[in-house]
Amino acid sequence: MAEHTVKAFDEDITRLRGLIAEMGGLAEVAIEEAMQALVTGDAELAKAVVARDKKLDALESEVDAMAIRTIALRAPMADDLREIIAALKIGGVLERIGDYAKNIAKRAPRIEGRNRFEPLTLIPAMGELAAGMVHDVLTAFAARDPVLAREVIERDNKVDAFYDSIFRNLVSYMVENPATISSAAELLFVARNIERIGDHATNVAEMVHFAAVGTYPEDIER
Amino acid sequence: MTELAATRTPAFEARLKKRYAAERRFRLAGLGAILFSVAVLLFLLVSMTMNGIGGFQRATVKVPVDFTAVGLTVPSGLADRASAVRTLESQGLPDVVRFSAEQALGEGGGKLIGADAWRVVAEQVADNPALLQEKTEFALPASEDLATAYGGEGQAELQPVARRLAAEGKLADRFDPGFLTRSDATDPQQVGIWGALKGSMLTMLVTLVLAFPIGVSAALYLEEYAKRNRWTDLIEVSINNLAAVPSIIFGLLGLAVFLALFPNMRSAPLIGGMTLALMTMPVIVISGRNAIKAVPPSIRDGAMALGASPVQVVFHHVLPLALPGILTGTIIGMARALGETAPLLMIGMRAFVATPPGGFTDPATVLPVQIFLWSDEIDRGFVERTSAAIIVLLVFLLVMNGLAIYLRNRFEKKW
Amino acid sequence: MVTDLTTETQPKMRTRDVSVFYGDKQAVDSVSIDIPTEDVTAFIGPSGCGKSTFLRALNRMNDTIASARVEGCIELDGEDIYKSKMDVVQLRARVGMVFQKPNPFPKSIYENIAYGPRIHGLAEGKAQLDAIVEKSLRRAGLWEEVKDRLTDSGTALSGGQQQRLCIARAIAVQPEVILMDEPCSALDPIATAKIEELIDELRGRYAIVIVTHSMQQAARVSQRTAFFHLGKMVEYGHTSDIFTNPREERTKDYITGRYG
Repeated sequence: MAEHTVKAFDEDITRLRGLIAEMGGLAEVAIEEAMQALVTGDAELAKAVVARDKKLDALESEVDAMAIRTIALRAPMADDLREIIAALKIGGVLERIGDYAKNIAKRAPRIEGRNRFEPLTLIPAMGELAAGMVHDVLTAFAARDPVLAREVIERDNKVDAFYDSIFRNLVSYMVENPATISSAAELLFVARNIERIGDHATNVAEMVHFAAVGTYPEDIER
Repeated sequence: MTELAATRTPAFEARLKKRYAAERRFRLAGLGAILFSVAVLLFLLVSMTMNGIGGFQRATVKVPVDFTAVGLTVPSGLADRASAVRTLESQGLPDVVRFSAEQALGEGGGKLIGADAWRVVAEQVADNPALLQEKTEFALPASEDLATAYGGEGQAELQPVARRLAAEGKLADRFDPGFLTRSDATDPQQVGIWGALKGSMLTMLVTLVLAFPIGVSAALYLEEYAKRNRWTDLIEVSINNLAAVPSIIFGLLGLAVFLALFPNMRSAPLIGGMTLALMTMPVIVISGRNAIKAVPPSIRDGAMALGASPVQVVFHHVLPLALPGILTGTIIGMARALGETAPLLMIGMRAFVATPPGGFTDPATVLPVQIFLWSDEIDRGFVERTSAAIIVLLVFLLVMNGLAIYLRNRFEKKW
Repeated sequence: MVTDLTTETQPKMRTRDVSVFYGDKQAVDSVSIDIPTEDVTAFIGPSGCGKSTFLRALNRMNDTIASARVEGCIELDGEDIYKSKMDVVQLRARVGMVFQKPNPFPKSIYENIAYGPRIHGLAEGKAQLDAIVEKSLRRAGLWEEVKDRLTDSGTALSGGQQQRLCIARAIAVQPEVILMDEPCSALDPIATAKIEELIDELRGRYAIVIVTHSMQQAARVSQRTAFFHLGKMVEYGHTSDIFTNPREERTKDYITGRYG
């Protein structure tokens, strides 16, 4: 795509996109490390994830400020405008994804007797799927690729399917082993958080599509 | 910064001083030129006035005439003053006047008053027949010889007579308003400028009526309607050249064409006016075209966009805005035409014309020609009259220009 | 290219394959567009793209340029303005124009407005003429500012007022279409805003076409926008679509500032 005649405009957009990429990276890491803390029971790692969420919040404020400034000063039109609006909304969504990862990390230390939990093996797979969605949707954003965005949206079905099966699993486990209810409940919440992360990644994908093409993706079975 | 910017070096400031010095020199030169021109103009005006003031006066003799003893009558119901004068003449008024002069001025007094002096009495009596019942003192023009003697020249034997009469208060130079109402004559005492003045007015009128509409229309057509091609370029060059042609050539043209068409109207204002119109028209066309070109196209666009037809655009918008410029050109052209002598001489306006022209087809002369003719006269008395005539010409020019400038200022608009 | 945007039955003006030549040089290349009655249409594009030339073809002002030649079909209410017997003077009364630099006549304010109705004979008697002058000045939003000085010269007004005077002058002949050729480029932002508000008020009563250099102005003022480039009309659509999601690459490059 050609450069703007006013180079500073290009620099502004590049900075904005850079902020989003940074946020995306942080969110991805947060999810992975939260999952790891969950599986290994590493309390220190969990604390680190919680602390690092502040960085994500700070970046979101920066994205807001940058987007507003660019709109005021550059009067963006067409795809520039869509991209900036998308970046603004994506920043908010990534911040919420980070919050969910933080929530998972908070719950991780509370789970006892993890070796015994059979459902515990499913959850990392779900987490990986969700993390993969976040990673790919940010790649789609960087490449302005609507096709990849659509593909990420379709993957959400799998995450939802995972959630359904884990839910059933945990419930029957709780019924059979009432002593594990509190830990199992925590795991339920964790699973739900991952499912929400998947939904948010879908939101980001929709906005990436909108920024690239000008319309939202339609008729995708969700 | 170790180096000063180029505009802050001492070399720059030295150059700056030189530039201001050049500025001052130029202003002084301009001022000098203006002062020089004004000085020349003042010199001209002052010397003309001083020479010409005398021309508005003439030597007059006071002669009392007693009508009581003479039985002259003016019949009532006469058509005009001229017929009254004729009846008085036939009744012998000239003799009465000559007799009164002999009485008042001494021996030979009849020769001391002008040959036509009795007409002054006759005109006053014709205007006021009651004078025939009284004795009145009349101011009569002195004869040419006496006037010359009074001026200190001419016949030696008349000079003491003139001195004596002057000492008695009977002979003096008096303001002569008749100069402006009489026409050409052989006697400088009797001469007047009105004939030439009226001739100039009529000729100028003909020139204006012909040159202005034709010139303005030509300028409008060439600027607004004519297509730009080789023909219009040729026309433009031709008109520019016409404006530079020596005026005597137009006289030849007038002689060859106009007099051939109207052979009876030699020295008529109509022919003179037509000749001068040919000469003035190119000037009006050139200044008209420039004035029209100067009207901004935005005004034309604005008028056309409203739905004005081309004729309406020209007459409602272009012409009013171009009029000041056109009038300037007209002033220049008419002023030049007023002072032209050569072409009018060629078409015959050089004859001695004793009566003012009655209309456009009567023989006439114009002010510059009259001045030329008088300056040729041997008679001493004509010198002052010539200068006086020049003053009249200048005043006429001023009035004409003043009128045009007034009109131009009225039409002056800002755009 | 004509996109079927007309929601009304008959557009006010319609052009098909209009090209304008100055001698051998082609300034406008085969433009087909419908000008609606109810909306403001904006022409945008870089300098020299032919938008002003095309605008001037709509009221035959190109006729004043000797070397100009117009091909194609331009219709006003279905009647060809070049080929039919339509009188050009009447056309210009029906299709008015406001120029880039305000050009009031060097006459009084009253005379400026009254000139058009007078030459077209739209008023019988002074009372009617006065009424037309007042109505036009009111519609142009200028009445309150000048009602006490109608005899003052039109050129004594400020730039923004002069332009509103020119708009009032155009309105006075009761046109059906008003063409505006960059009407605000010589004005400051406040005067510009007043004119834009005026355009908004006039919308619906007159079909308005505005040529503008400023994309923001086109975005603010118009409902339809056409993008011109090198004499061709590249894209024509609803203003909101053109500025949020244009279809053509060239349009996008121009409005996002990637052109040149």
